[in-house]
Amino acid sequence: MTNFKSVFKTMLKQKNKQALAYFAVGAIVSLVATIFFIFRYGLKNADSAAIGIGISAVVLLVVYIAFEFAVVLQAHRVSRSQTWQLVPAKKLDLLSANVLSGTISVFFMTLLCVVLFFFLLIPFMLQAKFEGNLFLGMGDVVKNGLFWEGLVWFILFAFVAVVANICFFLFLLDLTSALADFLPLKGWTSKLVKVVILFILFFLGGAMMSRIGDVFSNFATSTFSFALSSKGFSYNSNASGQGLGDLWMLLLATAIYGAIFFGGEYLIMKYLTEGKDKF
Amino acid sequence: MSKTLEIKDLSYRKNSKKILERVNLSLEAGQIVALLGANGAGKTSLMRVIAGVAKHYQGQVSVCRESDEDARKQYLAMTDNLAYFRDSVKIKDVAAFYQGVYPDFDQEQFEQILEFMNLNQDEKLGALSKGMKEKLIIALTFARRAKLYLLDEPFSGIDLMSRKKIVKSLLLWKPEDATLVISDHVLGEVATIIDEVVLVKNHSVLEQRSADEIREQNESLEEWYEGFYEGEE
Repeated sequence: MTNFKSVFKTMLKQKNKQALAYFAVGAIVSLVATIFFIFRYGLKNADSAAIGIGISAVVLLVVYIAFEFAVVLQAHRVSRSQTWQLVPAKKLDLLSANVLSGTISVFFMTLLCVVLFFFLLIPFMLQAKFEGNLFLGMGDVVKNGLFWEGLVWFILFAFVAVVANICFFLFLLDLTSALADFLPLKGWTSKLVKVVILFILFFLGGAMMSRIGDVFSNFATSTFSFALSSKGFSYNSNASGQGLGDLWMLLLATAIYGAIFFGGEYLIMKYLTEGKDKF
Repeated sequence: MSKTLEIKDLSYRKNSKKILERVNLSLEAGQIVALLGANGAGKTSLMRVIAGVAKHYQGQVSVCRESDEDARKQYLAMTDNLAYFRDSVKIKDVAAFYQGVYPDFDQEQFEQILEFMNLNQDEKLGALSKGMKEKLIIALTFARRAKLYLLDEPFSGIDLMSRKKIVKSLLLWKPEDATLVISDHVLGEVATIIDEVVLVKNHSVLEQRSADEIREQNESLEEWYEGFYEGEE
């Protein structure tokens, strides 16, 4: 039997390749935009530099969001493909590897985008023409304990949220395909029915997620949010002293809905999803 | 001789349509079996059920006495049309994938078969003709040390020379104790090498007979096979 490690390694390799391809597109476009603004208006013009960097940031964000969709579609492709279904691995190993490799590739992509963005900022930082507080107070921010605590929470929360979102969308896509397999339909009618089923499931799933969120927010004593401010990454709570407890609640709610969809997806893979030999 | 494959009362439906009904089949180790039937008879579905790729079937399927769907896959190698891989992927990347996920994949043997088939590892899938792709699929399948090989229409749409080369490769690389099942709607080149014939018709296995027995009682295997479709359009 093929173990989790081998499956995960192979999947991660494929998904990281995909991340690099997306990143290359984003990097080329944002580099061209930045270089254009540098040459057109020079480094000393803070306004045009900000526009250039703003465009680069938007390009990277769009590519990043497109990549997140691609990760979900790739996960769906893996779980439906005959090639992967022929692999003598346990369904649980295949699913865990599929979700985890997707999550790690999203983090890999995030890291690449962040590094590129700071790389694009370097010429402007060296000119020190930026008046924003973002760079000037950076040294103090990094020394701040709250920065590190907030960063750890942010990464942990982002990890759980990415896992849960992949599970949610994978569940929706695979259930839609599996339900469509039962219907005596072919061609465009099958596609149309799939879209309808997908929308219905999306709203049902969304309602369930929001219900879980509501249940947990009733337990919480305050609301909070992550913020990138002059103090770096931090979480804000409107009730002092309750922030950490509430953060756990939000994490738990996200982990629970992720676990529900993971369990649902496992059952679909085990009992319903047929290997496809055409894409 | 030990049984490599045993199927009991297998029924399978897809898109609310009956595909297979009450299929019973038993294959012994080391045999070369032709799985015959007209287009749409259910040969591919039968192979997919055996390989654990098709779901919601009823009945029991065991390979080397293992009936668990995930576990029985370790004993079988089925041809895959490689649709999962994009055209820009190179042969060596596909081989790396197989090496990564199949513990019984033998890279050295793969290279030998590839050389025999005159294929280059650096070629992209999109650049391969239908016949070359079929040769690659055979090479990937036989680079695994399996107990049961399932070849789904390996000769469809390919030229005579390629067909001959593939038949030759089957004889060269099939392990002696492994069972080989070749599905097709015509007998063609495999007629001379098969030990047993399984005929799928009307959603079930209509006949399972020794090839020698058929050869003794009929002029040829083809004549015997065509007899089942006489009077049909």
